[in-house]
Amino acid sequence: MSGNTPQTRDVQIKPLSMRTELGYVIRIAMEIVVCVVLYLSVVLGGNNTTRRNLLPFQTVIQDRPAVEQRMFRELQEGLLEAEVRRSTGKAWPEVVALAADGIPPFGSDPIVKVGYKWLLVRTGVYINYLGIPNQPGSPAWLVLIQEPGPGAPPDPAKEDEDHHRLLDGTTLHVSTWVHPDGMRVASSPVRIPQAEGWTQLYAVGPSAITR
Amino acid sequence: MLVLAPILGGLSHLVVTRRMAFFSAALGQAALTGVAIGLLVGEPLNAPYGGMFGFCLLGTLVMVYVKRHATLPPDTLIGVFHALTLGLGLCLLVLVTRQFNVHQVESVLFGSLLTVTDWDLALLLGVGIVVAVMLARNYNSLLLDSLSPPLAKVAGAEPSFLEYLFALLLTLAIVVSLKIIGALLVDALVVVPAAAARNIARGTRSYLAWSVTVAFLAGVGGLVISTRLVVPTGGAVVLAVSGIFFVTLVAGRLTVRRQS
Repeated sequence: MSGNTPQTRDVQIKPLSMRTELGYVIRIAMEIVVCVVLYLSVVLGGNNTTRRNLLPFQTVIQDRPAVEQRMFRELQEGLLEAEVRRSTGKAWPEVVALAADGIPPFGSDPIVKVGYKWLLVRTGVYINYLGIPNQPGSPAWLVLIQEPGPGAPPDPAKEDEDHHRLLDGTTLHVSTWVHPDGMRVASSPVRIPQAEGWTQLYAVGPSAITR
Repeated sequence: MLVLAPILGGLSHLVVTRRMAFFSAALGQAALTGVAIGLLVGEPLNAPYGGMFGFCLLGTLVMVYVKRHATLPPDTLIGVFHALTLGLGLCLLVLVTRQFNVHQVESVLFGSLLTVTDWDLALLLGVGIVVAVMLARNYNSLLLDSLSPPLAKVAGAEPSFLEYLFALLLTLAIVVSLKIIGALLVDALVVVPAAAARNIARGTRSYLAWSVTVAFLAGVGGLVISTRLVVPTGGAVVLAVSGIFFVTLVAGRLTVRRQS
């Protein structure tokens, strides 16, 4: 009958002692710290802080061809003039008005080989100055301006490449973008350019002035 | 998503079974702090992996150790860590915004496919393989330990080892998926797929299978929503997985009613 007796097995369950477990934890923690330090020593080797602060869809204008650098400078000039007119006239100036006053890049320039059709496109608080090239293979340009919403509290952001303050104290979010295939760009409002293949351009990077 | 969904879905049902949903939320907040630390020590804005992996893995070790030895209930202790990492993260983020434009950090908080690079995908694949292999090798022990730690011990497993192992694997999976889903919402994709699967699963195998399927469907659905409506990927994925959860809730109820 003893053959039918179920066999029992005694197992003593002893928890790991607190000190032994702590030893293991410290050992693993040290290994993690060593790995992180090694990784950081490789990653932090370069000292290019401007490029370090950029997202994949952003770049600095110095890395772009000379033609694009020239257009970028002209757009900054044109934007400045448009902001002054917006401050005094309470409305964003039409492209025709800027062109009539010879404000670059809206006015005609005999040096520039690629002609652009400039448009002022508005949707809600978003204002686009959109430049679509007349020739295939040329980039399209966009200045995206975001005004504060109605009743929005004052934006405490410091003035930098992304934040411009008008004469009346209104803070605007401003960005300049380039699209490699200009002929594919539609003349419709752009709100999130990075989602449509645009690349944001910076002169000195997003963090340089806020430091 | 082909890599991310199976990883998070595979971990998801064990997270729910081991009652580690709150732990996952705390890890998400810890990742936020890790991002801030990484940026402060000078890591690139688009890849603060040293800070994220370092802080989260160390935080996980401390959390598990304290949880195992403190007399307080686990959720209370995790709540303390949750608050601590969130507070620390917010303070550090304020410091970070003195160096970085605040808009630059948004993509890390909410997740964005537009910031994902080839390096991120390679890392995701590498970590995914490590997590999948470790999970597959220890799956039975982990499941048994989730249901009954003494039984797992009798079967030859070491519960303390399994607890640390699972917490570390979960941490790796969460950190590596941050750029797509975002620090604030990543815990949803670790918890909701299993919750949805539980509504319709009939056994452990189908629980795992449904958990992975729901995570995958939510991932793909979220990507479609994110691309079409141009909204943050993390939010879109969470909306999709929540929608699936409610569908399975109704489907589960209907099935039970039909059977009765």
